Amino acid sequence: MAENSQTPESVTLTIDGREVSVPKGTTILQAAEALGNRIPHYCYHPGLSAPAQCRLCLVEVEGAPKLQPSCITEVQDGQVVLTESEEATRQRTGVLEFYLANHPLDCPICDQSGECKLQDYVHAEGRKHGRSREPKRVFGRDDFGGDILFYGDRCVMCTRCVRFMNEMAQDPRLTVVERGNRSIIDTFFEEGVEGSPYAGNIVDICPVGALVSKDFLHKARAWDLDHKPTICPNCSQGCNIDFHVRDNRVQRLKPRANLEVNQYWMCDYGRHRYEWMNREDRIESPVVNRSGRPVPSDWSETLEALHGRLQEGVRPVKAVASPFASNEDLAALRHLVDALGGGEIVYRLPRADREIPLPGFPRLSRRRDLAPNGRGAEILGMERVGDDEGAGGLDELAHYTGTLVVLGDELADLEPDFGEQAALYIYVGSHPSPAASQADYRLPATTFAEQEGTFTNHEGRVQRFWPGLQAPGLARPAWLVLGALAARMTGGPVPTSAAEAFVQAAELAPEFQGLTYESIGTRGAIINEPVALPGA
Amino acid sequence: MSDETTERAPFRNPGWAGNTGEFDLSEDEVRGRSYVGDHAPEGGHASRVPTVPYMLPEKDPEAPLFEGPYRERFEKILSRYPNRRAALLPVLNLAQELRGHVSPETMSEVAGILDLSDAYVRGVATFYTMYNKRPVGRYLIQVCTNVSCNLCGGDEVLAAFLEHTGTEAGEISDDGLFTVMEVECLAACGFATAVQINARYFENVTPDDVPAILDRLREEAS
Repeated sequence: MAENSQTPESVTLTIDGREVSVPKGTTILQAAEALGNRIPHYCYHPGLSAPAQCRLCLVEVEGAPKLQPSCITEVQDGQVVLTESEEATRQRTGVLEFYLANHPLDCPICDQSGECKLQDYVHAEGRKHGRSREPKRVFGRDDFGGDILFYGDRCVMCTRCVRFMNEMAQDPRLTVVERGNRSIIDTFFEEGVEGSPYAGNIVDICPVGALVSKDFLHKARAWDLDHKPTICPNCSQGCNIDFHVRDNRVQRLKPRANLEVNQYWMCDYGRHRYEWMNREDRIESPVVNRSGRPVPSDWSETLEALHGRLQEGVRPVKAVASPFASNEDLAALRHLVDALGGGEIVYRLPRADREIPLPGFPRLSRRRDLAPNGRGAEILGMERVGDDEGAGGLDELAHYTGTLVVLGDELADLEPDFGEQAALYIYVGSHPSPAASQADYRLPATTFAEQEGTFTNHEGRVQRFWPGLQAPGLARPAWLVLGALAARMTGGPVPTSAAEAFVQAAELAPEFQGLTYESIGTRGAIINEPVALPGA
Repeated sequence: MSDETTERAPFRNPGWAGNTGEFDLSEDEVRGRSYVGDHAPEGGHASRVPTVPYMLPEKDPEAPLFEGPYRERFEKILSRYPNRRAALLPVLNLAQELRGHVSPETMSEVAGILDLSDAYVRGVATFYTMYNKRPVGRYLIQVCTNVSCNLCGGDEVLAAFLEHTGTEAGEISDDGLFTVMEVECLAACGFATAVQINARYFENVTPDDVPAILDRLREEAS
């Protein structure tokens, strides 16, 4: 991408008979990628420097005396590149044979199996049979501390992990020790990488099964995992990630590339906080509390009853929201509260004592706000209360005598008598708690992992996420539940999709105006800066 | 000892290459006593500050990094490189010269001094085989078993050294004097089998020479 506003000089070359124009300074490997031709490589990674040492991306360039490493060779005008010529293919086959000389071929018990570049490349272009009769050298496995386990025998010595720790984490704890046949990735003796807040990324960028996650060890086969694009909900950075799901449980989180938010990385803090999405204690059906006796019900009956109750007249409303809820959910809550005559909405947000930036890409940082959508709540006019633990701040509401609506907040720190004195207490959430059980109407909502929606991150980027899990029982997205209620009160339309719910949200907040799911796309879109009215 | 050199008649290999029997010259006369293990006098220009890439018999594993004349040499070494990282090899040499081997603690200390990461220094120190990662005896006996020496019986010479020192390869002998190692080419193929003992080359070594060489070293050490 050009840093100045001028159009960068364009270079036209031919790769495997197809002409392509790319900006000057592009490498052959990147130009080929633009044509959809992925030249095999290990050591090259788009987020790191390229040492050109794996020798797998060598391609034939007409006029060059020998094969050129495509990851560092810049394109030239009129260049003719052959990536599939006999010479290039023969060389890849040869290099791959060397890679297998000491590889243990333990694919049946290797976590990387199925998403392994060594498997893929050898499958595509490797020799049918190995010729090596020598015993393989054996390293065994090494605990690198933290979440990381190292299987030295599987390593292809691409040094991506070393370069990540040097260039991105800027915590050079990994190195190549020894040399030649005995060279191996290691730390300073027993030092390990424990405590390095971004170390988990070295598992992602390892092209083979050398670096694996202890958390994921032998948990699932790669081909059994469904990959669902989503947004990390663990802080307000809004890293683009993928859910890897099996058996309707999130098995792990992996970063998804978004050069403007998180490049190719994510922090270990976010990476390891997914178990809550798999919680099985859930509110699964609407519960109507009739004189202290909770009665499970179905949606139409419950909404009918609740609507009837609301039409009898409503005391002044106060509401509690959650910064873990999507923009659509929060906007639907705002709609409902407005439909009931308006009232203040508060939310509680846990806050860390410091940020944890990634030194090599400081735009990525584990933010202080440990929830994905505090900014969205703020845009929708909600007020943050409580302490940095995300607790407290609701003492007044606990004994509120008007209408009380709670969305998403589990109220885990509150007494079971919360809301006892409320004239009407509506709870919309996913997890049961003593304070929620007092609700006159307890309505099951999906978690963000089970629904479509958007979050607004710390810098005001609205980013979409997609459902990764099946919702349990009768749980429905809060925007649908609250939207249906609000629609009954106002006579407006019921949102039938998250996209429509977002359109309704945009009606409430000028920041969202003009944005649609289409324009947000998979990369996100920055909110409109609120315009100060003249004289206001 | 210099007087006795010529008297060692049966000792076919006095430890120097010129011993062809054609000349009536002693080793000392050929290359001088100061040839081995000596380095240029302290002081002088930074470019002349030597660091020895081989073992010295005198060493102190606890020696501080770096004090007195060593400090001076260290500073001069730094002065001839554009940055501290570039000075790593000679500084490791200096540390090994003082301490006899490069222990994990030494790597860490050197990393601290040069503002590098411990892991990086370990990577460099383990890449180069002439840094001893473990303690060695007063005399580090490196027997070449690469092609030329192998053809001329290098394996037998190695076996003889191991037998007469009573050690396994890499171990320190009980008297603390010897560590025997197998090494690759010492660039003395014309005088196979070549053996490097600390800074000194012993050439044309046969298994029969080994006891005499060890005796000579024991004598030196006493």
